[in-house]
Amino acid sequence: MVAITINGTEHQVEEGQSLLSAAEDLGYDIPTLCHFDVVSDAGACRMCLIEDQDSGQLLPSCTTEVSEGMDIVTNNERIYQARKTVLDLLLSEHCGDCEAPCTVACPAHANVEEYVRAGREGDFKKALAIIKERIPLPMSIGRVCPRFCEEDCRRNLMEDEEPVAINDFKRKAADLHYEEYTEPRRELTGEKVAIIGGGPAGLGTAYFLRKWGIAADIYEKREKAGGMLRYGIPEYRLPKDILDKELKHFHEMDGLTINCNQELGTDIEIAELKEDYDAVVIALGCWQSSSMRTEGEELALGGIDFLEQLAKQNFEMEDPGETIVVGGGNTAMDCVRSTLRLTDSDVHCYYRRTEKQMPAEQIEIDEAREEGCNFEFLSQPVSLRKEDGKLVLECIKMELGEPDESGRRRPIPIEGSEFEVTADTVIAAIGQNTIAPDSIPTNDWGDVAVKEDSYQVEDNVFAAGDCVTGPATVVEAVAAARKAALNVECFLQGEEYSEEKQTNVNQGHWESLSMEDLDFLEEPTPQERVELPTEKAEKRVTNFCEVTETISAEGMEKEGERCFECSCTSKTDCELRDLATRFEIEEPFYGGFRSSSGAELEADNPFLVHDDDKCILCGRCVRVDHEVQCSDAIDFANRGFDSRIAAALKEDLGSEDSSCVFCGQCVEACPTGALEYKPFITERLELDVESTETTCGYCGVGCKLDFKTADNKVVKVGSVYREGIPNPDGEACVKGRFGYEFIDHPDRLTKPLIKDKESGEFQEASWEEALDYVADNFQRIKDESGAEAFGSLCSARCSNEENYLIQKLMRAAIGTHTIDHCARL
Amino acid sequence: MAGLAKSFGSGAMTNSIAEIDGLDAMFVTGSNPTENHPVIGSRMKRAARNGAKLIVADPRRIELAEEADVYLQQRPGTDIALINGMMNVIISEGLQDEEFIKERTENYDEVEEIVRQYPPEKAAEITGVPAEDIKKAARIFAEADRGAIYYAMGITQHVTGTANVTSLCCLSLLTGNIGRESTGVNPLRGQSNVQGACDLGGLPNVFPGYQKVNDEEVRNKFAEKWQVDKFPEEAGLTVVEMFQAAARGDIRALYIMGENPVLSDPDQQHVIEALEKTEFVVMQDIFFNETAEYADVVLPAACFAEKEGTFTNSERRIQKIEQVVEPPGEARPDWEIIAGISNRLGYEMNYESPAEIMAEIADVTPIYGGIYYDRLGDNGLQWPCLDRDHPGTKFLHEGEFARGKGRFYPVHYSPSVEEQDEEYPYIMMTGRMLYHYHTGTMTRNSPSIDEFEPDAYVEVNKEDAEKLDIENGDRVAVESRRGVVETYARVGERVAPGNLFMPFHYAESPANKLTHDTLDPEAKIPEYKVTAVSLKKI
Repeated sequence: MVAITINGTEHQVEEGQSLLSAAEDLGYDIPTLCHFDVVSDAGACRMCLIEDQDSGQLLPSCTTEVSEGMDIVTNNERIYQARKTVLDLLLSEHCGDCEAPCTVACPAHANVEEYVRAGREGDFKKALAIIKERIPLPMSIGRVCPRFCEEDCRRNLMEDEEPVAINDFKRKAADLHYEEYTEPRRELTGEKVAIIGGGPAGLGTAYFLRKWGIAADIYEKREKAGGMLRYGIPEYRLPKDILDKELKHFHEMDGLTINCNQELGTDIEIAELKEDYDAVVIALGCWQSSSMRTEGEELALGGIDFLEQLAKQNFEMEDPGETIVVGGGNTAMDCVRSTLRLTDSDVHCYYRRTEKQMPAEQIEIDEAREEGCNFEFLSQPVSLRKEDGKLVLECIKMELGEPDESGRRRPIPIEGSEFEVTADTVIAAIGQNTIAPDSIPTNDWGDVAVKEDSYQVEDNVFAAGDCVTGPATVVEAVAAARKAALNVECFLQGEEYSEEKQTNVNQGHWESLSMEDLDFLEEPTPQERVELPTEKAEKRVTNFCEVTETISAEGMEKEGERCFECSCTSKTDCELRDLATRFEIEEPFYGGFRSSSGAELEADNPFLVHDDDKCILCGRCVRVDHEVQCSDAIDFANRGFDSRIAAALKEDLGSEDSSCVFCGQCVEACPTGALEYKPFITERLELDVESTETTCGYCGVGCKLDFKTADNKVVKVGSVYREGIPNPDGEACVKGRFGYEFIDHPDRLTKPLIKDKESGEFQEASWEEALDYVADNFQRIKDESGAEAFGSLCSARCSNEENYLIQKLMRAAIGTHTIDHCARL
Repeated sequence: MAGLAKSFGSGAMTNSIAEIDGLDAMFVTGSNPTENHPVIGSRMKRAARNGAKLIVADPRRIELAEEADVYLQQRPGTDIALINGMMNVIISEGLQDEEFIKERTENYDEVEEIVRQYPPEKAAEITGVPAEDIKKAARIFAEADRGAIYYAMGITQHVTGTANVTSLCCLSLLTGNIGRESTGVNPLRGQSNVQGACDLGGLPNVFPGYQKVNDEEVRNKFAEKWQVDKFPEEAGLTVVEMFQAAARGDIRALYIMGENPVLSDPDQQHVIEALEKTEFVVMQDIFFNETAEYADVVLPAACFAEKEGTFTNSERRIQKIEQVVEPPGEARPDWEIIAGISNRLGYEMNYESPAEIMAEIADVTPIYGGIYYDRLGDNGLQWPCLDRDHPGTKFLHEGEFARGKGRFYPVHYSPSVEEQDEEYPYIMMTGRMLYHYHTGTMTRNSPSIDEFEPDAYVEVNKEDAEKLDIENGDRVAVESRRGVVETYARVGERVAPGNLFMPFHYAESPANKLTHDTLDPEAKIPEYKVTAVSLKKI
């Protein structure tokens, strides 16, 4: 034993071991990427640096042996910075995408790739479960989302290709299974939260709180819940019977109530709710139309007011006559397209910039134009007056100047270019504001003010959605709802809330990439996007029926094939990512993330994929190969700046001369996604992978293996590291590692079969029939010829208990010792 | 196992796998661990790289031979001559462990008598191994403080299989390499639960725990425990005898659980005839395998990942298997099916779980007397484990052999039964390879593995290939006195000239169409390692 001092405390430790293992045994936390318990240390990654107090030097603790009197510090600012620099350097060379760009782009961070995959496999129930992890309103969002995910889809990179129709998977999954889907909900804790506002943010917050065991009462001032989904978005985009179907689920949840016709200030008071509930969440939305700041603007209808009236009147409204809508956002388009359905007169849209700058979705603009809207760009209202029963709108022509803070070019009035137009109705849809409750603090824009990096307003009052951010999309509202719910949960548990952050290595936006930058196991082929069936424009304007139809299941399954599956299969199991997250690295200091991959995937064999771009040269794989497996199949090649791991002297691990035996121990050792199992990549990562330790079913060594399963399917076989088992260092062979695939082979026997005596064909039978048939024949033969007429083979592949039982059956029930198995064969 | 039981009194791997780490020398013969027990193979390589001496004796130049200090490439079927030659060297150089021989063994004189007749030069003549190498191997093994022998089917699948094993036992007794840590005679078991199937009465001559059926006391005990009047007093038939009896019409009903005799048993045509002749065949398996075709009823079983239970590995370690996924369709665990049949025959089997069956096993099986599920924990238990407090047994025969004294059963070399002649000039051995397992039911239905190694093959020495104008990858016909099989040639130097090797995993090129069912008279193991064949390009 030697005495060493760690962080000022003296310890007695075993001689001959490394500082790292001594410190780890004592419970000190030293990060490392190249240390691997079952092999020697190499000091390759330098994450495990510690400070030697005698010399003042930083030393790698994995390759420094403990010695008498050693005095070290395992963490201080200098060490932290040194480790961070190590990570910065490693990450600047590490090329790939942790998460798929679609998932990152989704404000709610729904696991897009996973639900698209489930859809491709025709499992829309599973898709819905994945979607509802993050998106509580998939039927609605599946119809109205502006599809942030699709904008970032890598499929855009292929020539003449549209992105994967991601949002349509939500719609399909929800339309198919909204009735039977029940999310896992924790038992109610007894805590209760009041939520003011029954729109997407309020509903979303209640949904997540309830899932986590916290009861929620929603107070909604209107007759029905849904907020903007009901009173903002018109019927032809989101039919209200669809919304009712979606909300039925909320009404039926225990521990969640929706109380309508409850207006703040009249029926309820924040001060009272604060007392009666453990927390209050304000989710009022943005219901005040912004001012045009022009003379006579009171003569115009507010955009959102018009839409609300329309909804309240069940989309049956008087003909508004010739109409002018002012504005370029989605609300303006909703007003335009609704008006077109109410009148045969002309409908115009005036916008002060050009079409390119319109914040509305392109599809809305295109469909509005198809339906007959006349767009007038670079025109700004100056005043509004009434003359001879007609409204006269005076406008001024604009030109585009320098870009403003939002990056859009600022419109500047052209002097003397004023002109007048007339209409029966003018709708001002230029924006919306929050009507914040009096007692609640607001920010410069009049929205509810929350504390920095949180959703807390004050005390036990929180806020989420449009009333905090200003008008945004439904998906942004539910994203905020989840975070607010998390914030509330932390508050109730007396914990500090901090936003979930995870380092996300990425190759960058597709516009900055070429196809060559991406790695594919199989080169993608062109495939046309499956489009939503859409009603013709002439027909559309005659009614408020939904414009699009949900795509067929077959169509969605086919569409799913277009997904590149961009994310890394090791994203949930990557030590580099975990450490980068712990050191709060958003982007490496040295040159950012690499966008272009330097190397091709190596995968000329059915078992392993080697992605050099993700390799951090920790050398664990090489040491496991040399020291545990002893196959000498891989080593460092091109030592120096171009150093890489390669099949020893050979082209690929699968080549005839390679000594690789596909034991998979290198994959188990790899801290990143540089080495992965090919069948697992092909099957792709499942969200909830369960681990079950069991004994291998192949040879007589009896290796312990970790079977990873998802959806009743084995998806990979990992190692178990434990002294006292036949394979203590996580060893396995190709059969143990990859020989699980037979388990769900379609040719497995699933029903008893009885051979028809006449035809010689096998017929399916019930267990009852089959066992009776066996027993009857056994009994008959025994009666006729005695036990000597029987023989039985038991099995070296069945369990002890089964072998015991079958020999007991033969010896005790039949009466013969003629039982044997293939031990000798 | 018969040879081990004769010599030591217990037929199982004497020592544990982990003890490989502590070896000074290992003698690996008739076993290709890097392919058939890969995790043990790696461990042996590790030990060799850490300084343990390695002797490999195998007619095929297997991977482990590359790591060996001495590699002995004996002719197939000449193992006894080789081992006797080694013992001759040891005795003539006085390297035997006199003290051990005196205190713990019997019948030593007969060894001296027999091995005297095998000077290394004579052994060299029979085996084809240079005398110098025999001497070197003998010295390495005898001089090691901790030396162990490892063998597998390359030793047992001969007409002289039992004799081969007793010869190996002689070598270990002679050098005192048994009954201590990191020594022993260790048969490596080829299948996940072949040890357990033997342990639990899956043999015609013994009840569970190797309790002999011809022992009246044993029969009375089981009659009482199992509540039956009596049992037959003599052993039943072994697998090959069973098919011979079936072919004669003496067996009318066969109940086959998890076996595929059409591929695994010798002389395929004979097996098929026997199955066709049998009136009522019940097959219970996970796939509709080659044997199912001849069944009257096929019952769908759960595989090892779909049920709970235990396997006993090669080192006698009883370990849990866990249910990882649900069985497909209506497939059921075998134990439930067996109980279903038994109950219908009026013999009640009402078990709630495999744990309950194991408790019954513990009650009737002394070597499993302390095996209960609640004791298996993380790492299982090694038998003998006599009662609830017994810690299990890491290595056997410490202080005393199971039979009292270790007995030398030396034997003379005798040639294989199947003679080569002009028509069938090559010796064909069968065996396994890394990527496939037994009759391929599992591995050939695992697409990744089958994609990598899809085709059957025969290993041919390059000299023979040149003579026969065969190139690597050519289609060839291998013919024996019983049949002909077409396959691909794999040309190289793994087998010596005159020898061929075929894996038996492939239904499309079934090696067992060629083999013969002449058995070792004691262990009743067929001689898979020596079949006379011809080879030609097609």
